[in-house]
Amino acid sequence: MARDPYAKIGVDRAGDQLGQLADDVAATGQPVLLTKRGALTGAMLAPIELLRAVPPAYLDQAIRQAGEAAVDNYLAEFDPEDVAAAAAWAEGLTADPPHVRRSA
Amino acid sequence: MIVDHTFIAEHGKGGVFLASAIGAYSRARKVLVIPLPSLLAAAGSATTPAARARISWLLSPQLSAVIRLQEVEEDDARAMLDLPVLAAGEGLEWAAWAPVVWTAQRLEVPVLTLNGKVYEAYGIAYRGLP
Repeated sequence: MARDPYAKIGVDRAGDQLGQLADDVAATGQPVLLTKRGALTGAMLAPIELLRAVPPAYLDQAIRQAGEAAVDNYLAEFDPEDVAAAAAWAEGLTADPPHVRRSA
Repeated sequence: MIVDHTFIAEHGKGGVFLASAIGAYSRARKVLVIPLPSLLAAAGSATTPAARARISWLLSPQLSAVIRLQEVEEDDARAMLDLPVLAAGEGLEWAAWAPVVWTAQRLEVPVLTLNGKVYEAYGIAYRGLP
């Protein structure tokens, strides 16, 4: 019997249960695509009224986690040594102060 | 950080640096800004389906929290027309650089680019490949 990823959803703990929803949908092998408007796209659609109740910060976090997974999948195609070198360079970029007028 | 068309094109050619930056920025809870004209310029210069696919990947919904597309409104375009033409050159070349210069000046953030000389001419900070 197919799992119903929405069976656990209630309205009182929407934030936690969105995470559970994402985990459950991912376990089915379906793409998990959370949009800023709160819709879960792809083969499955979450109830919009539930996702609208999710705090935006939580939704942003869920999108970021999906993004990090997408990046990991993308970089899995490349030489691990190249990826490691690029990752070290990229971590340095994020140390930039938010406002930099001149190149170092 | 703003990403210009030269860096997006490098990603299209199979570079790992932009994807790595996306991952690092996501973990740091920061955003990368891509002016829409920069994305279009890079996509337009892509010569293979694979390069176009890599550039299209930047539009994946999963990346929407870390990549913010900067669209150019009509008023913004008018402001860009007032930008002095310095090292960026004329014509189509200028049209690719101007949105980045304008966005960088407005947001006061560095640009990720393969051609920092253009931004030096405008006094804008930049970062390039290691």
